[in-house]
Amino acid sequence: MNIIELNQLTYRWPSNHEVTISIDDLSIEHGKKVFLHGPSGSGKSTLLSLLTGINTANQGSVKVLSTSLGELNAADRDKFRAEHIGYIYQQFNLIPYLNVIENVTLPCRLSKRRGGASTDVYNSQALTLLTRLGVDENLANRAVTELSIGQQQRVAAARALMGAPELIIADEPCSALDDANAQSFLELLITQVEETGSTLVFVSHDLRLMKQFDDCLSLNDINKIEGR
Amino acid sequence: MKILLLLSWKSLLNRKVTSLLSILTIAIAVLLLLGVERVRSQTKQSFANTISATDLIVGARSGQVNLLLYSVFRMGNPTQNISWKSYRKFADDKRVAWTVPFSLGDSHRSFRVLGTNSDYFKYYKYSNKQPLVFADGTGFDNQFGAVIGSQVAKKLGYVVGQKIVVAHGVSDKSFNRHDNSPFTVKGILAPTGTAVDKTVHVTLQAIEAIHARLGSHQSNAQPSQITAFLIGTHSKMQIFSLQRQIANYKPQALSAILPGVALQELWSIMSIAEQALLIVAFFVVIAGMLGVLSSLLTSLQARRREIAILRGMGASARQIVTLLLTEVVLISNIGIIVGVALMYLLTATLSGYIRSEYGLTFSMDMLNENEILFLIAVQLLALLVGFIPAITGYRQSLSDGMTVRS
Repeated sequence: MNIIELNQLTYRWPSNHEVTISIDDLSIEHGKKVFLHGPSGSGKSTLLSLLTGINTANQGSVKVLSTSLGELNAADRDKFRAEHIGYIYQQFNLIPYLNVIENVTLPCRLSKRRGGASTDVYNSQALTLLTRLGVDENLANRAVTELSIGQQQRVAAARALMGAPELIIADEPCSALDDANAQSFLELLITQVEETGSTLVFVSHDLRLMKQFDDCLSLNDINKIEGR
Repeated sequence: MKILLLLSWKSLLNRKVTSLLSILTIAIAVLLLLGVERVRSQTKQSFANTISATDLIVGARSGQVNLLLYSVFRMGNPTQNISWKSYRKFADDKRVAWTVPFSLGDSHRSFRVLGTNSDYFKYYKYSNKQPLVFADGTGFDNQFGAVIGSQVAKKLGYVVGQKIVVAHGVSDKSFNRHDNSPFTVKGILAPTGTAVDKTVHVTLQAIEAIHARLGSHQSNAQPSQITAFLIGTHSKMQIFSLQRQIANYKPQALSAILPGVALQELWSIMSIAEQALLIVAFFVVIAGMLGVLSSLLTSLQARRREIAILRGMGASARQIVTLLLTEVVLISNIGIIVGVALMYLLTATLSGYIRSEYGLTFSMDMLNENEILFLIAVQLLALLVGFIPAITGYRQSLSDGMTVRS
């Protein structure tokens, strides 16, 4: 079963004249760990906005978990994203005025499905995930601004994994990390994704990270619009 | 919703300095608005309280505001006097229950001197039909006894038994000080918050006597003329016929006015200034809102990423709008509460001073309907203003998508 299916997709940003992305066909199988090679200018940001339902395609269809995002209204797309997608940004992933545990449990507060039974339940789940990702439990009540970048990215990963969403999207999460940190981050992330059985779409321009993935796709090949 | 409230609260705490400044801006605007409103209603109140239980004020023919000003507020000068004969004619009318004669035109160290008789202390009422009360001493006692208002006593440091002199005319530099007619303070009145507090009361006979000595008249201690008089009737039904009869009195041109109506007219003149003050206060509120708005819009730029993160986690555009609106509402709410608290704090600390200096009473009363309406208006205005950053934030979040191009 495919978790992502794109078909005859085109998208143009409202402020742009030219089409940013045009993909004939892309499908990603459920449970796979996919490396998506996306150098800057390859339409990476656009693709991610479409996959998460922040924006909708001008033409063609985007199906995630067999749900056609274009057919949902904006509120339902937001709900869908909250319930089924965990997202890790490049950097500055965390809300600066919330502490570590508050950041990790934020998706649970925005979505009932991700939240589970009660505060206690998701708080303990958050602590477990933090520990597994190598963030000391003692840091749970610290301000996120006190953490190193490496630690911040692990907190962000824990947040994306909360409530075991079907799809985890990571947008260059290692680009701000040094090599050693990047390697260990990736290993921990992959271990956890395998644990929860989620699908991982990992976007990066760093081909050295590729070898730990099941599949590798290059956005330059998929997107018919040439690098701008 | 709970999470949004928590988020906006923590976000405000995260920007402590700007949040505090915004709150303070609103608080001060609210303080000013409530302050102006309270001064306004208090002035109006004390204005209306100046005279009560008097049915008619009679003086030489003039406008009613003029007559009211010199007889009750002891401001300005009477144009002409009333002969004793005219006064007696109406004082003896069977519809009239009581009268209080007034003779004005003299001063004591810049305080007005009012010649009257002991009926003044019996019939003159202020506020809600409150009689004058002696804080110390008694009435006139004899022809050269004086009764002084509370402010006179306080400003000049007079006590019962003090000897004072009266100057002719209202300017203190008068050459005509009646040095030969010393008065003795026989009584001091309790504060009333009206012009009575600033008045030196003496007997009609004394006024007559000092003027007789000045001019060439004989001093028979029977007043030949007075300036005005107050009338209390037996029945309210008779006020208008009496008023008409006084207006048509042939031997002398007289006016009889209804104090309530004259007060209304005078207030309508004064209230223009008060309204201007209130408008200024409203503009201060608007200026405050603009200040808050600019700080919110500035912070919004820095918060693009924060908003993108929330969107990424499934916060809907509506939730982002609500989040930003909640912040404005929190700021204005706290601002209003702080403003009201400041107002009560100022009232508690300054009301004694204001009462003794200006005769205005500021009580710790609960907010009245008007004031609550003002506060609701401030809150609604804040909400309205809040839509600007909220919509801006919403638009940004749409165009940013999942990545913030900063």
